[in-house]
Amino acid sequence: MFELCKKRLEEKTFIAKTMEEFEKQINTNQGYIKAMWCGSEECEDKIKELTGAHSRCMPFEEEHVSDTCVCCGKEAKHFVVWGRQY
Amino acid sequence: MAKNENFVQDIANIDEDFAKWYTDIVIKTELADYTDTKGCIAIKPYGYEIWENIRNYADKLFKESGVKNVYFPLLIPESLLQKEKDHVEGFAPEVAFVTEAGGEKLDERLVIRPTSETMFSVLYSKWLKSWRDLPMVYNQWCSVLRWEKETRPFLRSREFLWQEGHTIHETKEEAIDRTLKMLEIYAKIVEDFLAIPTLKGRKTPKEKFAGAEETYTIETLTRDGRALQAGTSHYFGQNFTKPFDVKFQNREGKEEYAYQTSWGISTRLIGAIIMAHGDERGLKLPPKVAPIQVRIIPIAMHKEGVLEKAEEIKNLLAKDFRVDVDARDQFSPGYKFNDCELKGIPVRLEIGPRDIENR
Ligand SMILES: [Zn+2]
Repeated sequence: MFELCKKRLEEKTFIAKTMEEFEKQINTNQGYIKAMWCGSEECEDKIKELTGAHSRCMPFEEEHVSDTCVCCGKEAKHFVVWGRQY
Repeated sequence: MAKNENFVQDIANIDEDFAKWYTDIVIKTELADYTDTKGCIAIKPYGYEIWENIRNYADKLFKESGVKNVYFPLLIPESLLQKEKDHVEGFAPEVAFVTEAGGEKLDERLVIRPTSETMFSVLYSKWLKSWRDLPMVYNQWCSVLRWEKETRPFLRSREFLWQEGHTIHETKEEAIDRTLKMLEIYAKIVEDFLAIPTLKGRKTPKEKFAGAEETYTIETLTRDGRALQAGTSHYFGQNFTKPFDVKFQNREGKEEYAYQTSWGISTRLIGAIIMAHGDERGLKLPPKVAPIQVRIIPIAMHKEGVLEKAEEIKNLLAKDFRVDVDARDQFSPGYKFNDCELKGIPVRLEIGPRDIENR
């Protein structure tokens, strides 16, 4: 059962470097979106407004998916996983 | 009987209407039911036993890590909640009060606990004297009340069951260690016991707990691709210990404020199990948490020896598993198979006259 969930988790985790990619992914597949963030609450709010996704967390296992914030294009400070929530 | 034979068709299609499928599962497998109290559910035996299994396992891990259980009041004087600014702001919209009792209006309103940082802090300030008293690593299993606007069984109920651990420490490092250790324990519960993978990390300042320095979280993903927060662990620094005057004499003989944590998991985990493992046939319970791990279904159970055999096998298995026999004579074996499937019982055994002859 764990493996089945793990497989789904992998299938439903996507990388977004731009808001276009972010919106397209979440609207077609839901799931987790991995994207870089500048650290500002304005961008966090805007992402929520545009996509309905909240920041889930800044994972302990960090990744570097791009140099710039997915929302504003400024220098990225954190790797964040986003998703619509229950 | 014909209607009963289509039992599983009575739940919504999981891929077409996940929300309806979810509530169908909760109601039709008898995990819980709605009540006359809006936004509050009655947890039925099948659901409560899942919770008991989670609770027993969690409690064992907590105690192994040095946690002591306590029980503190349900009602908290409003003035206590007001002491930490971010905390009160964060919880204000969801708080319910007792304003009247014994036929009289109360001098001070009483908050029905939405969480108990304030009550723990005020008692810790009373009990803490010296660094020798530290750490205090207390937990309570209780219910809390949050006046949610939209509710959904297990995932978002106004009243829900949980555990809330609250600890105070001599140093920042020790408190942070405890915060992270509890997150590890939660991840173990969710991954090993509930068979759900987790994503572990730190919340952004906007999403962290009201009054916390840092909130750590384990996140799960539901079948329909949504995130579900399964457990959180908070590091408060001295955010509460300063306004609540939780101080101690340190090793140098100076007064110092303690460093605090809190952490919780709730009956929300039952929702997480349903949403992670359920499928088009119904609920699917991980064996470790399943109230019934093995169900024996007797075929032609009125034939001589069948029920006796079923009972015999049950008694044999009962040493190692939670096992029962479905001997209800108003239902056909076909109905019972469906029911077993719907309830997500991990193992089903059929015993019929032929099995007895073959021995
Ligand atoms: Zn930005």
